[in-house]
Amino acid sequence: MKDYVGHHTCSDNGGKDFVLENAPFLSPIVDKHPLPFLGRGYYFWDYDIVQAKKWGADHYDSNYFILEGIIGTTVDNFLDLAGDRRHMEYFLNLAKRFVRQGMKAHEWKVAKLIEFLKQVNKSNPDVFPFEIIRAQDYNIFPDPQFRMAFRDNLGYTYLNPRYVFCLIIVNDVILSGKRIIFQSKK
Amino acid sequence: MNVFDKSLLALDAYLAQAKQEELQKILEDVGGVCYEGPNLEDFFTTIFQNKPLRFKFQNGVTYYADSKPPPVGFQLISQTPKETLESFFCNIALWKHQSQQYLN
Repeated sequence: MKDYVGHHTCSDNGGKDFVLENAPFLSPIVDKHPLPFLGRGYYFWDYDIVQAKKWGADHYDSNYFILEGIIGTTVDNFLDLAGDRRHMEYFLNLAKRFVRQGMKAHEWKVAKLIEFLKQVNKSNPDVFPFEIIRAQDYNIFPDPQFRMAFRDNLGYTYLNPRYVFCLIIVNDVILSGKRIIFQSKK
Repeated sequence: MNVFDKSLLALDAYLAQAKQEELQKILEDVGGVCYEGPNLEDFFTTIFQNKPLRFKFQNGVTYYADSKPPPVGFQLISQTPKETLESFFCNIALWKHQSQQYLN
């Protein structure tokens, strides 16, 4: 369907060859810790080296690599909560079904709903068949330099959104063309 | 049938026969905890400390807000340093339009 370029930040532990061979690295679910944003998976920024560097500076004390890879989506494996309104409506409809069941799904975080659906999917394979999820990490302080007005100053579009990919599984079809494109200076 | 319709049908079929205990068990199995930050009301109470807040802009218009939680757009304003507020003027105008009840 469509390929995207993703940027994955990881520790430089083990060196370049080890990282290239083994990355991306899993963001696991750790007991008593917050769930990763979109649940357990392998995380990439959607073509965003700036965010990947920020993440490295904040989380790896500036000792990090940025891995680039091609993320291959299809109509059947991709849930796009960033760029497809039909997908967003579908996702909300999933939550509404749990609310009708008497569960407080309207209070759940995104990751909780996704992880719940992944659990149900184990015994009901059509319920949540997705392997790739993309969502916008909404910034409440959008940088004005990336804002471009339409006809008046009340309406504008924003040209630097933060999109994050979560790959639920990784294989050669979903992720290809891995290469390290940046190494932080020590 | 597309993947979404198929998914919703499958979920409906599952929920029609699932027991509450089973759903609760799955919820527990999800694991982790979700971060529970301060809610919007607490946030604005802290920001405003129950005192009216006033912004004066270069166009000479003064805006007031009380401690009631205003629409989300106002977060942009209340957390923004004064010197950069002007760049958010269009957000203010939008907020003013949408929430007259919060203005004196």
